Amino acid sequence: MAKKILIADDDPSILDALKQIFESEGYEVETSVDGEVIAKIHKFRPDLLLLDIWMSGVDGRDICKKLKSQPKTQHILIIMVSANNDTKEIAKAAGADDFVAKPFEMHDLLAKVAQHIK
Amino acid sequence: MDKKISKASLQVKVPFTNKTTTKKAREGSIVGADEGYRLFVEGVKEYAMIMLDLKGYVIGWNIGAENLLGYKEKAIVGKHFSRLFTLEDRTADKPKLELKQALETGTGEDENWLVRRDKSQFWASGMSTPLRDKAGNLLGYAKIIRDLSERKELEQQKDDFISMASHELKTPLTSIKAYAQILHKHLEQIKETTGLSHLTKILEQITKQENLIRDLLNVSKIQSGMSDYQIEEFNLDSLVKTTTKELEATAPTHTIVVKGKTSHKVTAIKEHIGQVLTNFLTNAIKYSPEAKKIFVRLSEDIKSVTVSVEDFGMGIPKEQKKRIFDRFYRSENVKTKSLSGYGLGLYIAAQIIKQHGGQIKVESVEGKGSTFSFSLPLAKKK
Repeated sequence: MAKKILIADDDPSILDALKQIFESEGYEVETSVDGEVIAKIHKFRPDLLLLDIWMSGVDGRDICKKLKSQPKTQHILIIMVSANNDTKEIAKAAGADDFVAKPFEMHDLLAKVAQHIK
Repeated sequence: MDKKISKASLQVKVPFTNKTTTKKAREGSIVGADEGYRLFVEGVKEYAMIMLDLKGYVIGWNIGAENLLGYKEKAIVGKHFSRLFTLEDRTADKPKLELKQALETGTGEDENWLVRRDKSQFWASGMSTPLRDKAGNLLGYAKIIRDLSERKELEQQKDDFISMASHELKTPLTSIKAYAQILHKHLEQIKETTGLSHLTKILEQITKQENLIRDLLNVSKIQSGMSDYQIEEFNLDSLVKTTTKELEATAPTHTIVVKGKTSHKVTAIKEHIGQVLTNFLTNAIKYSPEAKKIFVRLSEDIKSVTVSVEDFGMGIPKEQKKRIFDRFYRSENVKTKSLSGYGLGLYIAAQIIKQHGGQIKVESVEGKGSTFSFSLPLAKKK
């Protein structure tokens, strides 16, 4: 069965591009543009969440902490993504499994996801 | 300064009005200063001018100090000047250290937060100087303070703006890059070579833009002393080796020859020093298109380790050498040759080396080439 990835970002064009990239690699992809990540998580039950840190109105760090603190969702792998230069520290502090800085190299992103999700 | 302070009246002749006013000299006013001098000191409103005794107790306080710090002279004279410091600085013994530095070096200069009478704080630049009599005996200290809050605030706004702008510029670039990469993959699959070669150029430009944004963000980060990396002890030789290898791979036009070696380690942020080296080397490659060789030399003395990068390119005109490390400065001869750049690389390099307590230098002869070098202090032996 295809592994499932949920991508949360407030930029629709980034979501569209990422969806294409991961679908072409055989992943099942859902996206969330409005910050309704938690609701989507329960419905879609992804293996991995690609989570933007700064989404308008929602803080990716809070979402990450919440998911990692609950028994039902703590197994979900979370990779934080941001154009912020402190992504590494932020991801670590929020308890994420990994981080990717924007703009990313497609190969690096795919390799990172594959390494976690296998 | 244990002299009894005179309470004598002070006759002041006010120019132009031809009136004579009498003013009672305040307790704690500057001892031994003549009237003109006293007027000058007391009248300066923009600068706080404070006199301290040997131990740091306030003995003189001008109107500028009153304005800036909120204490009337009467309320502060006889109190220790450490109350002007934040609790944190007091705990770190900063007041004492400041006087010690003034005594040892002749002047103690620094910027820090100071506390007003109402407990509000402001960013201040201060200078302390030891005061001696003719025989050289220490009488006390003079401290001059200026309010830099406005400048500090402007700097903060500028840094915030650069951080925000960098972040916002990166967001659309992320989509552009992602789509370009998807397209690249597609064109590879269908073997569309013309399209691929165009797209490769687009991707190169995206990388350039990315680097520009990264540098802009770096300027604001490095200036404020923040870093994503840790200070560590390392040997410069291996850093030189890996950096030159990386760059040689991207510039097949040049051979980079490394000469010399060092045996001492330095204590620094490795990533930042690597950035300086990369900057020197990419400049050397970029500004010596006709040359084939670049020399990197490693040397050391008892105090420091030095790395220099020599190219045989266009060089820098003599009168422009001084400004080469300035922000956004670009030498006239590179502008006229329409070589791309935005004058941040060497500025960042200079900031990095300065923060590590090192030195950055350039030697150059126009038309012959340039040698850029930096020195870093040796790591302290444990």
